Amino acid sequence: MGPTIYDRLVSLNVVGVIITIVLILISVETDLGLYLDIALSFVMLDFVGTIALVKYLEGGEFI
Amino acid sequence: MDIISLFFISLGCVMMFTAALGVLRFSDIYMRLHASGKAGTGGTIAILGGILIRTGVTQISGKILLIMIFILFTGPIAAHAIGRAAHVHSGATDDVPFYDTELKNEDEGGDEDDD
Repeated sequence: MGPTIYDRLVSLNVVGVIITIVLILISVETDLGLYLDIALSFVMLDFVGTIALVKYLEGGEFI
Repeated sequence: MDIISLFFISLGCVMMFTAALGVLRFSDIYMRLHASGKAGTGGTIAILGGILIRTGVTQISGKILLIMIFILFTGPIAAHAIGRAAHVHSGATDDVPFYDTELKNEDEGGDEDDD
């Protein structure tokens, strides 16, 4: 996807949100609360990973 | 109650489809951020709100509400961070607008075999 790495970051963001929604739908449909915990931790790790990649690309300074 | 949740889930599906189509078809980083930042977050909120109406007040719906609030806060933050990094990387200033910078030229040059 896309010529630059920022386009790939945007598509990674969208794919992460869609994976979260699919995990929540599996959890509601099968009554397994396990998938909700997986979805919650996946959302948090996705956000932290995006911020870390962006800070690295912007100049490598973590504040 | 069932019809209302079905309406919200269908609205969210249409919005997520719009976001994915915009990311796939638009040509620039800022247009793609416009598609994914607003339609993606709004579609997620709509789908999860529909599921919340469907399940009622249980232990599951508390966690779904938590995920919904988290995505509502962190989606725009991530989109803003990506846009800021792309703007810094492109080298655009007050004198040089974005459409003259090298990120745009790199975008024009290499879309033959890059997907």
